[in-house]
Amino acid sequence: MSSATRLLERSPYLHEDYSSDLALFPYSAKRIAAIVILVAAALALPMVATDFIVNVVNFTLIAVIGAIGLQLLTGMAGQLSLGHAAFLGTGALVSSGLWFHFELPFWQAVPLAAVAGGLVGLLAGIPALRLRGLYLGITTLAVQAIVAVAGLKYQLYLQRRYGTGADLNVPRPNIGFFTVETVRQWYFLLAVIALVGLGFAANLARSRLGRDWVALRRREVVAESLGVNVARQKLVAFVLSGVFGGIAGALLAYYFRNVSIEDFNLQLSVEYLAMIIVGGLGSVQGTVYGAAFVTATPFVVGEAVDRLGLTKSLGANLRGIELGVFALAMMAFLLFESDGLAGVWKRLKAYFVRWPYRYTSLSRGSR
Amino acid sequence: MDLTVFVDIAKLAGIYLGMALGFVIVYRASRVLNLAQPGLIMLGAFATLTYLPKYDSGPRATPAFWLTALALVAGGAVVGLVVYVALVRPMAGESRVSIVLMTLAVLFLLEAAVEVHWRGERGFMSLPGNQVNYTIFGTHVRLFDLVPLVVGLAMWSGVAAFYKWSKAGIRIRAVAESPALAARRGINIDRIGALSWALAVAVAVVSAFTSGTQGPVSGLLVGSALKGFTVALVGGLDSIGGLLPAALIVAASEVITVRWVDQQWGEAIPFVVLLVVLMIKPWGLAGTVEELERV
Amino acid sequence: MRSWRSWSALLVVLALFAGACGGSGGSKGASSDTTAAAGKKATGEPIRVGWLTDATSVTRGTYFPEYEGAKLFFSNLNDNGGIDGRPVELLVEDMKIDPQLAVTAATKLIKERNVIMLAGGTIEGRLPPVFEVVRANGVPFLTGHSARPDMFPPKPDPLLFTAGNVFEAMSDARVKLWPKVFDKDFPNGGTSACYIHEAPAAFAVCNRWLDQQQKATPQWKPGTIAKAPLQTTDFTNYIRPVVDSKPTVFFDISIASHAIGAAVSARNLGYQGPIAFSMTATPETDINEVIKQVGGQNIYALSNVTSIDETQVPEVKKVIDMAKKYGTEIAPNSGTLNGWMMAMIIADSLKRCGAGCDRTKLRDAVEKTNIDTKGLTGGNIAYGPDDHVGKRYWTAYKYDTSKKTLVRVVKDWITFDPKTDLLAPLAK
Repeated sequence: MSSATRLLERSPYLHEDYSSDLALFPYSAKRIAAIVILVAAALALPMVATDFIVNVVNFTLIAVIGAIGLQLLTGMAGQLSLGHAAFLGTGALVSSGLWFHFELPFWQAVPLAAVAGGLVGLLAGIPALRLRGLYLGITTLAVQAIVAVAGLKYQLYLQRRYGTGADLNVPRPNIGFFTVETVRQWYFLLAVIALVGLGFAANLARSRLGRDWVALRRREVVAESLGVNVARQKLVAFVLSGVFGGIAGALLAYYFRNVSIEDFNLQLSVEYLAMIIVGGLGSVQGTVYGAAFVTATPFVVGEAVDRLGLTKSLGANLRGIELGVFALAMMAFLLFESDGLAGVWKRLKAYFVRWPYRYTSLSRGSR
Repeated sequence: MDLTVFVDIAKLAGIYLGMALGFVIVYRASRVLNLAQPGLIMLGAFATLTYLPKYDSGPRATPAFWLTALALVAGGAVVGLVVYVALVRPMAGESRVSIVLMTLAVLFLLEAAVEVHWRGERGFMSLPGNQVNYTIFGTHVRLFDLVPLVVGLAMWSGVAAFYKWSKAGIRIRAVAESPALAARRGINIDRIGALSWALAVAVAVVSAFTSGTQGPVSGLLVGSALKGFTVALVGGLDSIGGLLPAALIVAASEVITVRWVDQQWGEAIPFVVLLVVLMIKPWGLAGTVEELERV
Repeated sequence: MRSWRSWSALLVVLALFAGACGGSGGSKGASSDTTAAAGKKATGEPIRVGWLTDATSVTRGTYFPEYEGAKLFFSNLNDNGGIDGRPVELLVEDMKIDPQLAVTAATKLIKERNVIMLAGGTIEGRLPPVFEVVRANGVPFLTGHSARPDMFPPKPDPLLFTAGNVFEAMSDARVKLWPKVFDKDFPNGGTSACYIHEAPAAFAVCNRWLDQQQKATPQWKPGTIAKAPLQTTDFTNYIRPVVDSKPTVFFDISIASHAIGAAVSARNLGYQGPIAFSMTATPETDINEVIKQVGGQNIYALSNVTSIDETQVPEVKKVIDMAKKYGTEIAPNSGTLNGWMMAMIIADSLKRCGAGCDRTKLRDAVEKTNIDTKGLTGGNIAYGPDDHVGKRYWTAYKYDTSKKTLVRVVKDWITFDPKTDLLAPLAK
């Protein structure tokens, strides 16, 4: 058989050897075609979309990067984290501070911000060695509060000592050979970073660490008896969560050219949590769906109200409507589709793949 | 001798006691972390702001005032029932994390509702006795400084007594210990759940009253109510008895830090206390251990 | 058969995606909020001005009245001929205090709605994201209550103008104003306490003010500075040190719910001395909340805009009448007057810009502004190539318990010139 015919006949569901079973990305001709079209669309987006849309997409991409961190920690390793904004805040302040004190450019500041985020993640993970479940989640709130105060003190110190303003400023991001100037250039930079992050997470999921996490998430005691180094894997999850959060925070600081610790509050942590729930706990592609949903909803609602001409009556209540739509969507997912948007996508795919058979899924979803 | 420290601690502890009680009531009955509680407190506060009749002067409250207050509390109980029946009950059997997230969604919905109805509004509840002052041992104390403590203690001991001695209370404790076993013994789990939620929201409304004695009503209530959550955790999420020492410890550390150490760290202190307590006693001061260390 | 299904599904998804992309670019011209009164006189092609405000978040009380004031001005203007027969259309976007919204709202107004200039804005910290968009598109931006050092002499950013203040400038002006308000009652000075909510900006608001005050007017010594975290509803703990230190005057400047909570708390704890508010942070409507709760004795307000209570000023009366005619969501206050003043600047610039006005020409026109504010503040507002702030005028009011309104206690306005009167350099 020629390799071309083999490609066309290949099915992503039929594995004929272990390597295909373990493959990161099981492919078939159709899948590759879909990917090609998707990539073409993604490349074409900045050409056809308005600045407004590209901005929203950029925010979504940054959210994806941050949400990956939370997905690894809460979705895969099962450790509830309510303080994710602390990692973002750390990354933002560290990267801005590095510019202020040492004039470190973007491409050096971001990795260092990631390291800082990882360190804070490590600290946040220490209670995880002793606490479980919801109690653990709340200690992450403590980390959040501590980072908030520490950040505040740092900003005050800068004001006292150097006479800076109330917030920190950074220049346009310089990635070594190139300075990002426009929204569209940001799009490409963010898309690359997001893709690398997603690939990393997907690969992690199928590695030994990922499998340990699954065991950890289900039954910690059982996992330990099976030989999983529970303490170590928990800490690794926290550190990685911090790393991704730190990167996202640094990106935010550079995107707005201006940052202050007060923006990284509990509300932001809850938003990230909502992202991975709506997207689907534990699913890498769910991270993207969830981040897109959470970031875009306010804008979509605003536009919808605009287009429907309801601005006069509803315009002032916009935020209330956005929150309401958000809440209702979350409730709907929790009640009807516990696997989030990723689950919805799976069902959609299954419907098309298994047509004309009605029977769409063997299990209602994992718990 | 400056008694104001004790007054402040007592007052703050009373407020925290009220806010934490709601969390514990729900958790005890169903092991569900009710993240909607701060939103319910805020809703109660705004409703109070709007519906409580304005009094003209003097410390005496009119009958209309008490009636409205009671109506608000009863309304709160109804809201709790509705939330339980519509949103929490259908989640029975789902993972605990999912149910908690459902309460989070309810919190958002409450924030949205308040946003739409009372957009950006802020103000003071018109509570009688605003200007009543006493001088105790040479310290200037307002009536309103004592109200949170008294009300908080009353609620707490009331609920504790209810749990200990009334029939419904015993049933709730049975469900708290082992829902499956209680169900097999004929206890209607649904009704217990509904009762707990109704009680929790009624408590939330009263908490809103007490917080209204201290400061203005605004959207920031959600954030401050979250500290009550911390207190519930320190005491042990399913322990009524642990609430009192927890409230005192957290309130004392916060007041002392703000006064004598550093005003900024005062915000983080309740959480730091939480961290310290949990590291020593992972299930709170008096909470029951949840995970059995066997396979 | 089955493969055909999955391929067609792919095509459907693709079509949806393409449709979404194409359809989202460019609006049908439905404006967010328009005041283009198709009245008897102004019927020409509308001039579009964009306005960024906080309609639904914690600073609504400060910024939304500015928008309403401008809206009233333009409603009135459009009913009386507009600018050379063309109505001015005010397109508003709610950016709250969110940086993402700041960027997208500004982008929408500039790129899709094609506004000729932007106005408004919310808190200082949220202006830089808007500046990015504005600079990328060459659109002049006139901010209201809040400003940034970018607008100050000697080399302001060409596109950025303000009718407001940065915290540092407010503090420095306060140093000048303070003796005029309190020297009569306290000729030997005293201590000034300060309340601000806990935030990085607190330093410029309270610390800088007290440091500079001590240097410039040594009889006024720094008192206790109190700062409560944002999520506070019970201020007792934080205000007690202030009250215990028995300050001569207590200056309370913060977001509305904090400022009123702190003031009531201070009175409840037994402080009977003067409490001074910053009118721009807590306009008359909020001060009235405090008065309702604890009475109106010894309440002061410092302001750089005439108070709405001064109804004997004809322009103030006019604004009140317009508010009655066209309606406002928030009862008119000094913020509304500030917005009206900003609209005066915009209208004057548009008029001078004339026919064929575009963004660049309008910017030049704004830079040449020198208008009579008709009693809404203490003098003219004028910009120049080296100064996009202009002189500010400050005065103070005291609550009169018998008249139940604010009454001027500083007869002549204090002038603050950003070129010369800054007591310390601004952060850059």
